[in-house]
Amino acid sequence: MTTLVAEANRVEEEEGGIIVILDQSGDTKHIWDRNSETEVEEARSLFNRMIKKGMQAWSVTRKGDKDQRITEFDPQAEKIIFAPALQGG
Amino acid sequence: MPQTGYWPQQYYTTSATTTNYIPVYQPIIQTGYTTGSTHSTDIWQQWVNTSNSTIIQQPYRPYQSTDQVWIQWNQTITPRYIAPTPLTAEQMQAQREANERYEMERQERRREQQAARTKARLLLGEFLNDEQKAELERLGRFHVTGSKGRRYCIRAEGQSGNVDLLKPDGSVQARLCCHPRRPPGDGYDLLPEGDAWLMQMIEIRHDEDHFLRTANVHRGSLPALV
Repeated sequence: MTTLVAEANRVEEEEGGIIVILDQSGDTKHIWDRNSETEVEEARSLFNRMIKKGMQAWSVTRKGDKDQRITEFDPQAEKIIFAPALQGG
Repeated sequence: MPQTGYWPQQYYTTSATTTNYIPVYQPIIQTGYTTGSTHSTDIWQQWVNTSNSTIIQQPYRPYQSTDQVWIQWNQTITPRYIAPTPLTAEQMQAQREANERYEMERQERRREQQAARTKARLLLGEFLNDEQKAELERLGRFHVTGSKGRRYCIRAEGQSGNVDLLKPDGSVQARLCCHPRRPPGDGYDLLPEGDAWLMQMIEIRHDEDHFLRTANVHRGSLPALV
């Protein structure tokens, strides 16, 4: 697990983006290479599917200086997190 | 003494039981209780017809033959115990196997939940700075600064009512409940707690007014929102 996270971080730092989908298993990560059109299109397709499911997308950075909610896929995003909308409890 | 043509009338008290015998066809003697009928069958029918309506408190009345129906019924109806059919060896074996399967599934589910919690805490750790990580490890909570500068404390105590809006002096202004909905799919579980804390933090530092509007206030009060 740690290896996967480290690998994801390495790819992200170099030339990839990563989609993190929060779910009951913790999360599921999908990495794409910004230089590969195929991978970008696959990531875009995944992004659109998740939006249709009602998940909210956040483009985030570790420091939190670029957090923003997005509704369209951004191939240049560093990390996109999908999560269910918040509700009052 | 039992007598033919008479019904036993028993009076139960804490100290003794007295049995009187009354004629089966004895006309009803009414005192302080008026009705259009005097025959026991009529009264029973009347009771059946009116028992579904509102009960009206009646004045005291002496014994009536309708009481006898209730007493007789209680004396003749006895509950019957039906012993369960013993299981065959095959049925017992099938039951044992089903219990073992259930226990294995339960343990597997528990392992999955533990793995999910660990995974969520790792992801959360990627977004916390060193100070927040240390605070979470040491005190079970971490502080976040909102998009408008207010301070929040996210407590690692479940995901309901675990966010405190702080006053400038650090005391709690309001206790808030705001967490991610259940993810789409077949499962009924919420997100693991680490994921919920991450989303609470992201929402607060992105748009804390939206967070405050969404949250339910469990204690305290919210500031005026523009």
